[in-house]
Amino acid sequence: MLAMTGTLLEWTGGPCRSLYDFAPEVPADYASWLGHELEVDLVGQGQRRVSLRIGRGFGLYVGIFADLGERDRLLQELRSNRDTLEEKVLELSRSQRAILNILEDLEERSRELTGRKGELEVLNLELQRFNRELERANRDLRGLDELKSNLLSNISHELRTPLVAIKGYSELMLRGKLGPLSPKQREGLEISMKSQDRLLDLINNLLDFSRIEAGRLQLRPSSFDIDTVVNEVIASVTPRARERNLKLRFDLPEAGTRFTGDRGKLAQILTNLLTNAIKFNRDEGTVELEIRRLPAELLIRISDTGIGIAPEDVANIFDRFFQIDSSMTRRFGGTGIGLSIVKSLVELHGGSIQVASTVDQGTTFHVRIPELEVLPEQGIVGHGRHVLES
Amino acid sequence: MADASKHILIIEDEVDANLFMETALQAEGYATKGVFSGHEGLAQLDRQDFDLILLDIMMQELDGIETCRRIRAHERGATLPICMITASVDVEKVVASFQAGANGYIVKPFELDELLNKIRELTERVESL
Repeated sequence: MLAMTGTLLEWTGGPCRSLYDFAPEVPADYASWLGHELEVDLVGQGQRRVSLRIGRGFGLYVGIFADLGERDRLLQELRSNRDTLEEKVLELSRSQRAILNILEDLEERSRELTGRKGELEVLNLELQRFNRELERANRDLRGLDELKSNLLSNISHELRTPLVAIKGYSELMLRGKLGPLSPKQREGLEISMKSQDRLLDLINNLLDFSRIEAGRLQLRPSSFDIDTVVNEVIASVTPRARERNLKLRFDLPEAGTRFTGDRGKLAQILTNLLTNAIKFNRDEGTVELEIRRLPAELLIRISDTGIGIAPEDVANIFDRFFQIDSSMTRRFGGTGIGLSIVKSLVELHGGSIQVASTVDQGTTFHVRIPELEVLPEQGIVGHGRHVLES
Repeated sequence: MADASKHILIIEDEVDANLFMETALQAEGYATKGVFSGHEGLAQLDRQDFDLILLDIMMQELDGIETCRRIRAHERGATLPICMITASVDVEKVVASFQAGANGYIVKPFELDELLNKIRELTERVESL
C-alpha cells in the first residue's frame, strides 16, 4: 500500500458505514471532505478512482482522488518552465535584435567597403601607370649607366693607347737604344717618364672608380703566397720611397704562407695605402708595413711619419675626391679617390678599415681582410692573367 | 740580343704604337713586319711564315679576336704563338681571346721588358714543344 497526500475531488459514496463512524474526529458530512487535503493510504492502483482508507477505520470509501500536491508541483514546474521559456524568448528576441544590429552594421560596412574598393581600384590604376613610368625610367637609367661604364672603359682605352708610344719611346731612348743621351736629355726624359707613370696611375684609378661605381667589381678568390704579392707591391713602390729617402720597415708572415682572397684587389689595397704613406710622409721619414696571418683573416697595419690628418678631417678621408684642401692636389698629386677605392675594395672583401692619426706625427691604417673560399666554377676567370696564361 | 732569325708580325691599327713596337723589337735584333689591320695580317700570313704574332684586340673592321680565330684556321697559323695586345683590362675580352686560340696577352701601355719577356716566353714555349 502506498501512502500519499492528496485532495478528495468527488465523493462517490461509501459501501456501508459513514466515515464518521470510523473517524469521529472528522465531520460526518462527506461532502465537507471534498477539497480537503487528506493523508490517505492508496489501496487500488487506478489513477482516478481509488479506494481510500481514512483514519483508523477499516471501511472502504470510494472517491475520485487526485494528488493535488503532485498537480500543484506540476503546475509550479509548468509555471517555472513557462517563466524560463518566457525568459528564453525574451533573451532570444534580445539576441535577435543584437543580430539585426550587427547585420545592419555589416551592411553599412559593406557599403563603405564597396566605396573604398572603387577608390582603391582608381589608386591601383594610378599605381600601375606610375610603375610603368618607373620601369621606363629604370630602363633609361640602366641604359645611361651602361653608356657611362662603356664611355669610361672607352676613355680608359683611348687614354692608354697613346701611352704605348709615349712610354715606349721614352724607355727606348733612356736605354740608349736610339743613340747616346746627354746628361740633361737623360734628366728631362726621366722627369717625363715619372709624369707618364702618374698619368697612368690616374687612368687606372679612374677605371677602378668607374667599375666600383657601376657595381661591376667582383671578387675573384684564389689561393696565393702572401709574400709573393706583397713583394710585387713593395717592388713597385720602392722607387718612389727611395726618391724621398724614406725608410721602409716590414714585418711579414714567413715566406710561403698562403691566403685565399682576391689577389689583385689585395695588391691594389696595399699599393694605394703604401703610395699614400709615401706620398704624405716627410722626407727621410719611415713607412711600416706589418701583415699578420690569423686563422681566418689577414691583419694589415701601414704606418707613416707624415703630415697626419686633423681630427675633423678623419671622417672624410674615405670620401671620393676628398683631399684636405685643393692645394694638396697640386702639392701631392692624385685624384683623391685612392682611399675611397681602398675602402670599397676592403668592404667588397667583407673586411674593415680603420685610421688613427696625429697631425705632424703620422697616420696608421688598420685593415682586416677575411679569408675567402674558392668556388670551383670561378677557377678560370678567377685568377686573372696568372691562370689564363698557364 | 734576341735571335735575329725570329720574325714577328705586328698587327696593330694604332700607327704610333705599331711603329714603336717595330723600332723596339728591331733594336733587340728581331725581324719585324708591321701591318695595320686584321686583313693585312692574314694576307702577310699567305705570303710567309712568322715565329710570333702580336695582335691588337680593339681594331676597326676585323677585331683581334676574329683575326685570331682566322689565323688559327690558316694553314700557317695552327700552332703559331699569338700574343694579344689590349688597352682594355676587360677580362671577358681576354678570355674570348684565349678561346679564339691566343697564347698570352699584354696590357697597354707595357714596359719594354714586359713585351720582350712575353715574346721570349711564347717563342721558347714553341721550341720546347
